[in-house]
Amino acid sequence: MTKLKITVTLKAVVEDAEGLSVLKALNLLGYRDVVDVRTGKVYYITLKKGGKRLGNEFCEKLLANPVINECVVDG
Amino acid sequence: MVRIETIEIIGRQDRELSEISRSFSLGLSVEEMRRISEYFQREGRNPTDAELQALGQAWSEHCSYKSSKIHLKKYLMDIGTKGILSRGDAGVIAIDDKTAVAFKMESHNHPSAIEPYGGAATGVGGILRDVLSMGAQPVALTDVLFFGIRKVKGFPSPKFIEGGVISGIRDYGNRVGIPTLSGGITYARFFSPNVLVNVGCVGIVDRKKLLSSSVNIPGLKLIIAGGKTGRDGIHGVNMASETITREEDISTVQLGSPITKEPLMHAVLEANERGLIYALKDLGGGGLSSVVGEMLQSGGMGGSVYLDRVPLKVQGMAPWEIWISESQERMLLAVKEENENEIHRIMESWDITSSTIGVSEPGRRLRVFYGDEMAIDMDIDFLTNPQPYDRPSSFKEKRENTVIPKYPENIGKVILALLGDRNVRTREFAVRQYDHTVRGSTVLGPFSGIVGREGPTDASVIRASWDSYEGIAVGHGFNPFYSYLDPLAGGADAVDEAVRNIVSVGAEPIGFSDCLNAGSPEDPVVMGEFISMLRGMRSVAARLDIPFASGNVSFYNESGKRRIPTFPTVMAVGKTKDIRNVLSPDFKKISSPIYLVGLPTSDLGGSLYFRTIGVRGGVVPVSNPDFLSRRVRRILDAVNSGTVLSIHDISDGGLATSLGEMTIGSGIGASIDISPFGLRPDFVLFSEPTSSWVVEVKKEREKEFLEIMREDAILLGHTSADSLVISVGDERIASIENEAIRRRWKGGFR
Repeated sequence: MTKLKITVTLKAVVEDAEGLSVLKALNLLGYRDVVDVRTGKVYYITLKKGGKRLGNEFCEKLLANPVINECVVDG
Repeated sequence: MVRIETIEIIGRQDRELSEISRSFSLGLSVEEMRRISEYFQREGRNPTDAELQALGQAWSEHCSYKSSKIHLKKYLMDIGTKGILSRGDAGVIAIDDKTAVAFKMESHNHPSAIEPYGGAATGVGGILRDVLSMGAQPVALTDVLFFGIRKVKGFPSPKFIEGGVISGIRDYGNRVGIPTLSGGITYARFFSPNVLVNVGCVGIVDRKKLLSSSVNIPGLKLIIAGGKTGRDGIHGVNMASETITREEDISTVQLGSPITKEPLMHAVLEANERGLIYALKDLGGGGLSSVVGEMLQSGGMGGSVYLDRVPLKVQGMAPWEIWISESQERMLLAVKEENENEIHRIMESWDITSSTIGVSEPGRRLRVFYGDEMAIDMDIDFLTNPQPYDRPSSFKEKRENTVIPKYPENIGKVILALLGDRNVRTREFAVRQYDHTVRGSTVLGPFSGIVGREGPTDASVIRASWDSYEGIAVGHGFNPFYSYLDPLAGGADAVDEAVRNIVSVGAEPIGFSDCLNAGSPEDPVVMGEFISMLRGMRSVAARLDIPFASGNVSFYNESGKRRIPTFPTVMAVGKTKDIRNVLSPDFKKISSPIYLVGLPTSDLGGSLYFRTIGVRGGVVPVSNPDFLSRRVRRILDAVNSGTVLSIHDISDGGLATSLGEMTIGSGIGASIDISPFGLRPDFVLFSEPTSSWVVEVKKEREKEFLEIMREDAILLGHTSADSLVISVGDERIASIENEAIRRRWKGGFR
C-alpha cells in the first residue's frame, strides 16, 4: 500500500478569492498581522501499487486545472 | 528600477519587423509594423515596449474590428437608427419616456476553449460591465452555448469544456446576483474544438442617467475602480485575433471575481444616481490601453496617465504589463475634480479599491508615465485608428439540390426521436443550476407549466420597473446548421427566429444585438460567408425596421482544418405593456382550437429531420421578411385583443416538435389533421418553415381571432385530453401519449 498526499493550490499569479475573503475576515476579527491567505485542497489517496508517478497522472487528468492550478504530490 | 525598454524598429527590414511582432506577441502584420515604423520615424525616435504593446492591443481584430468594420457599417448599422439612444459599450433603446433598456451580446469563445470555467465566468463578468458602463442596472443575463461532440487531439474533451462552461456561468451569475434568464445550447461536430460561448446582458436605465464613455472636456480625473491589476489576461485580445493552435498558458486567460463585481455594480450605480460620474467605460479586452485610448479619442481629448498609481495584485509588473493587462472587475470613471473625493468615498464604503490614475488634457497626445519615466507619448488618433481592411472575399456558388428522402415507416417514432434529440430535449440539467429568479422581477423564465413538469419557453420576460406593468422580453435566434449550408439563409433565419421568440410571449421586438461568429477573415471564403450572412440579417431587420443596437464579431474560430460555420447569434429584446398578459407555450385548456400561422415547406435542408435520418444537403428555407412583418403585426394584435391562450414558434424539429413541446408543461394533448396542406405528412410535420407559430385560441373568441389573422391562420385541430394525435383526413398516422412525450423530452440526458 502506498499513501499519496496530493496538494492542489492556485498558481501564485492567480487571485485567490476565498483566500482574500478569509484574510479580510481575520483582519476584521482583529488579527492585524495577517497579510496574506492562500487556500488549496488536499487529497489523501491510497494505492494498492504504484507511486508518485501515478499521482502526477491523477493531477493531470482529474484533480488539477493546468491553467490555474499547481499540484504537488507527496508520497 | 527602470523597466521601460526602447525597441529599435526604424530602418528595419520586413523580416526583422515581423520577427519583432512575433517575439513581443503583438499579432501585427508586416504592413502594420511598417506603418508603425514610419510613424516613429516622424516622431524622430524608436518606440518603447509599452508603445508597441499598446499598438498591438489597439490594432488587434478584437479591439478594432478592422476586418468587419466596413461591412458592418454597410449592412447593419443604418437600420432603424432613430430608435437608438446610444451605441456605447451596450446599445440603448427607449421603452417609454422615462426608461430605456441597455443590452448587448458578446462572445467569449477563445478563452472558453482554453479554460472553460474561467473563460465563461469572465464572459459573464465582461458583459455585465458593458451594460453597467451605460449607467444601467443589469437585470438579466443570457448565454448561448455551442459545444462540440468529439474530442480533438491536443484539446480538452467536449464534456470537460461543457462542464466547465456551465459551472463557470452558474458560479459567476449566481454569485453576482443577476438572474440567468435565457439562452440555448447546441451540440454539433463543427464546434470541436472551437467551442462558442455567446453571453448577453440586459439592463434598465433611467434615460436621464444614461452615461457616455466619451471624455470631451479637459481636467477630468480618470479613476480606476474595482479589481486590482495583475498578470492575468495579458495578450487576451491578440489571442482572440488568431486561430487556436495549442493549449495556452495562464497569462492569456483572465480570472473573474463575482465577489468584487457585486459591490462594484452597487458603487457605480450609486455614484451615477447621484450624478457624480461624467463618463464611464469598462476594462475588458485590451485593458487600460484600449479604454483610455477610446475614451479620450471619442471625446477629442488627450491626457496623461500615471501607471505607478494603478493598484496591483502582484509586485514587479513592467509598465507595459500594467497598461495592457486584462484583469477583470475593473471600471474606469471620468469625473470632475470636485467629485473626485466623493467617488473614492463611495468606493471605499462598498469596500472597493479605487485610485485616480490620470487626467484629461486638451490636445491629441496620450502620455503615460511610470514615476518620472515616460512609457508612452503618442498621437491618439494614430494609436486608436488602424487601417481598416477590405479583405478579399469569394462567394461559393450555391448548390441547390432538392433531396426527397424515403417516407418514414413510423411517424410517431420519428416525433419521439426528434423530441429526444440532443439539440431539442430539455436543458434543465444546465439551466436549473442557474438562478433565474434572483432580484424578484422574473415574469416568465426558461420553463413554464405545472411545477415539476414544466416545458420550454420561447423567450423570457422580466419586469421593467415596480411602478408599472411594463415588461422586457429577451430571446435569441441562431442556426449554425442552416448557416453551414447557406450563410445568407442562416443569417436571415437567425433574425427571424429571434423575432418569433419575442412575439411568442406577446412582446413587441424593439432591438437586436448580434454576436457574429466566424473563422479566419484572412480566408476569402470566410469573408464571403460573412458578407452573405450580413446580407441575410439585413434583409429581415431592415424590413421590420428594428436596429442592431450593439454586438460583437468573433473571428478566428478555427484550428487546423476545422472551422465553425459563419453564423450570428441574434439576441432580441422586446417590450410588453402589461406583464399580466404574457403568454407561455404550454396548452391551457382542453378543446380549444389550434391554428398554424405560417405554412409548412418542402425545403428541409439543414433541418433536424434531415440530420436525424442522415440526409445531407437540400435547400435551406429562407425567411420572407414581408410575411414575417405581416404575421408579427397580426399576432401581436391577436394577443392584445385577448383571443390567444398560448403560442409556440416552430423551429428545430418542425410542427410536430412544437406541438409536442406544448403538451409538456400542462399535460394537455392535441388532435390535429394535416390534410389541408397537401404536402407529404413528414414534410408538414418536420419541415422548419420560417415566420411560423402554433397558436392555441380561446374557443369563444375564435371568430375574432380569424378576423385579425385572416389568411395567415390555418386550422390544425384542437387540444384534447392526454395524447398527441395526428391524422391525415380519416387516417390516423401517429398517436403518442403525453406522458411518453414528456419522458422523452425530459429523460435520459447523457
